[in-house]
Amino acid sequence: MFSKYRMIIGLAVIVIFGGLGIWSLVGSATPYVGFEQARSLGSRVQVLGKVDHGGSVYDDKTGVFTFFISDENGDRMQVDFYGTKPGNFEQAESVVCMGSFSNGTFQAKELLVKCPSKYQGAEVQKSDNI
Amino acid sequence: MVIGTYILALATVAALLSTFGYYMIARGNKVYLAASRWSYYLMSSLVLIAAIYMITLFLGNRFEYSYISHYSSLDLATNFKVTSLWAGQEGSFLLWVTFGVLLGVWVKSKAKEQLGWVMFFYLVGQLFLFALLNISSPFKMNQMVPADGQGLNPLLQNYWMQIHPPIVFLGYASTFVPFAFAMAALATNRYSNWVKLTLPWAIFSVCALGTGIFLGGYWAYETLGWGGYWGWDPVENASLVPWLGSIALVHGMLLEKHRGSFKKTNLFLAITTFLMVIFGTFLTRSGVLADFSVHSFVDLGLSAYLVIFLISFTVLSYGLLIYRTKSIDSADPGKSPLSREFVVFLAMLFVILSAFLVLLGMSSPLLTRIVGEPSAVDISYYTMTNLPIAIIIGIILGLGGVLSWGVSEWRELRRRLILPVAVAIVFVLVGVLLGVRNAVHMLFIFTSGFAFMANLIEVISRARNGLKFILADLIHTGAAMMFIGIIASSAYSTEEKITLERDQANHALGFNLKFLGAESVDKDRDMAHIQIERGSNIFQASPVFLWSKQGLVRNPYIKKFLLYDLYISPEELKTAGTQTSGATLILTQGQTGSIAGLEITFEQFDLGNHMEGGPLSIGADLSVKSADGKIAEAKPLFVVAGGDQPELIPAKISDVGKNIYLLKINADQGMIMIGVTDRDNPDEFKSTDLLIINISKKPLVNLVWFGLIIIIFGAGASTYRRLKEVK
Repeated sequence: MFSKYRMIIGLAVIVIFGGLGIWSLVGSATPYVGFEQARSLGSRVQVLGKVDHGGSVYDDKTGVFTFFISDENGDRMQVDFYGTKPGNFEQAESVVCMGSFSNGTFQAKELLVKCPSKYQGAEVQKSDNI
Repeated sequence: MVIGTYILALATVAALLSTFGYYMIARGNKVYLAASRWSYYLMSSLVLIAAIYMITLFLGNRFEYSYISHYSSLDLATNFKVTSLWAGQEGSFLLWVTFGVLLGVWVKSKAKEQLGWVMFFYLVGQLFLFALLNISSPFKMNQMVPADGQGLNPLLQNYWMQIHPPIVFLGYASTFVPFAFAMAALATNRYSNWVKLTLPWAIFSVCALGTGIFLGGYWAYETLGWGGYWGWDPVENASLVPWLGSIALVHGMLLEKHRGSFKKTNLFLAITTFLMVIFGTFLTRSGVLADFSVHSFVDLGLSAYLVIFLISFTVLSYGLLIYRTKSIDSADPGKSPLSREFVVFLAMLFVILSAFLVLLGMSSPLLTRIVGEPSAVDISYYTMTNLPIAIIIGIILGLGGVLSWGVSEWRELRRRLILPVAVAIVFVLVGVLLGVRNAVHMLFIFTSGFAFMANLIEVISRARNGLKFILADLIHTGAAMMFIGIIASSAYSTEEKITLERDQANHALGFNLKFLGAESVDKDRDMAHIQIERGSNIFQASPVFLWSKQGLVRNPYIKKFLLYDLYISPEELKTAGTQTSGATLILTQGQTGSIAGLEITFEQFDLGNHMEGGPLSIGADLSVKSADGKIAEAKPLFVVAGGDQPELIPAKISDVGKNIYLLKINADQGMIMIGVTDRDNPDEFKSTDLLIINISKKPLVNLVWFGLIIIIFGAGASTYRRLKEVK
């Protein structure tokens, strides 16, 4: 008896939640883009850049960590991260920044620091870990 | 020469021979029995030898091996040298295959008449690992032999990290067992035995992966200072997804064992859980996600093989299942939707759905790449998709507690619903009183509370029958507790970032804090001390900054209270420098300088008269010329009374309302540092230590750990019980 509506229930649930999944996926997906595109889009994106270790500064008044990244064309961009300097930042070659470009700087909400050699390659520095 | 590589190559050859032999046995050629068995034992011995050999190389500081120079160093403690075996990718594959061949001994002894096919499929799974080990061998040599290794990442120099990976790999290895038996059942078209035999291993996967998740979460929370126990990171998800798969499989297997139903579903779930392990390995180990370059597969060596394995396993196993699907007879699981059978079905459905949604999220960079710019989802995706599922699973868990097997009577059901529903309402009311305003959260608390009480009643009412009869109810109670802990600690955590000045009173989240100073514990560690006080409760929190070759690690300090954790994460430490807020000036004897509108000449030191053993008072005779030309004499004093801090007695220039302090003296060089302020406050010249912390209150985190420990304990006891049932 219930094998009959088992199929129906199963399919209905899969359709509903599959739809929810895809809808959430589209809503929260953050594309990887180049610097130029990040500037012109202004929406939430991820960019990858080589870290310029000279100019990084943490301001304990505003709580903003500022540094510069550059891409392979030598394009430089300022990043403002609302958090302290990630622990392995000094060792980082490059960093993935998630956020959006506004007022001349990239406002990062999340940093993914890439290290030359580490267990599983990367440590995620998130501002919204639960 | 590189003996290790040869050992592994030889083990691979033995594995291939054994696979071939078991295939021939499966085809009915029993001549191969002895040869297959002995090549299996040869393979197992060689794998064990390779692992032990690797450990001896670590202990011998053999930095000519690239793996060892990467993960060890001369000064690394001996126990960490042993566990460095699994500090990196290659070594962890070696550990995984070690568990695989050991579990295989059990598989071999229980497979009986399906021996050939079971071992064939089991070994094909192991060959996947052997291939990875041969492509990137842990025994690779360095071109140049370094004098010392790079050392083990301090994050991994931790008790939790020593036991976390082996348990996860044991969990991964155990998912190969139901897979092999399921595939053998499909190959032989005989389905009567495999579920009974592999049920304990499916439960074991739940136990081991659950333990792995627990340890990983606890490690991230207690040591790494990530501020949370779960970040939906691909590496974390790679163990969550097969965990959920195993949970669904166990429920299906129990229904099949007792009702003869869900035969096809279980074959599907056993295969899927195995594929999830392989897929998770592909995602986390191939570099496709870790690197931004989802655009380009840099690490072609490993990822190409992983893709080939993944595709062939998927096509082969699902293909066989579809091919056989008509010949599998499954019994109808029951008549009524008001039965425990029905809610178990729903539980399987929603758990596997959650697994697929997590899988979808973690593979989003690959999927979106097909249609356009590669995109990764953020954490909101996981919450949005899993919160509704968790709410529904709460109802299912609760109904599972109140419904009976077979058919439940409405009247009986109503009676049994009263208490759990009442308790759930109380939970929601308490939540509202404590500040819950979000309707979805209230709903989640309601269903979790319902699940908690419904199963707790079962645990209590049936406890006298013995532990083995309440294991399932106990696990479900634990799951409900974990749900409540998760929602409370994630959605209702409060945090504040504050800058603490040394010895200054501060206030955050209802606590009084005072930064007492920092000390160097050893060459790598700075420990900050904070006195924390609330009412009569005073304690000292000491978070640690760990400076390592791999970067700074911030070890949080966690104070556990019954209802919440106070989580203190050190962010930044600034020790006293020379910068001060007041205006300062350095003068040598006879020199004149100007500061704050005054022209000051340092005439000479005045050592004054002091008693033997009394305070030493040093003065500086200054001549001070104000802007209007008036000249005054001033003598600020620097009094050393035995404490650390000298007492500074200012000279007051009352005409212009300034205070002159003598801040530092250097009698040998005849130099002084003076400071001028408007107020009589020497603190303006104190350079202080600053500590920036992130302090947060995480409610009911203990419930997360406690619930998970109950699940793990229950699954462990259940594994033991079911293993004994297997003849």
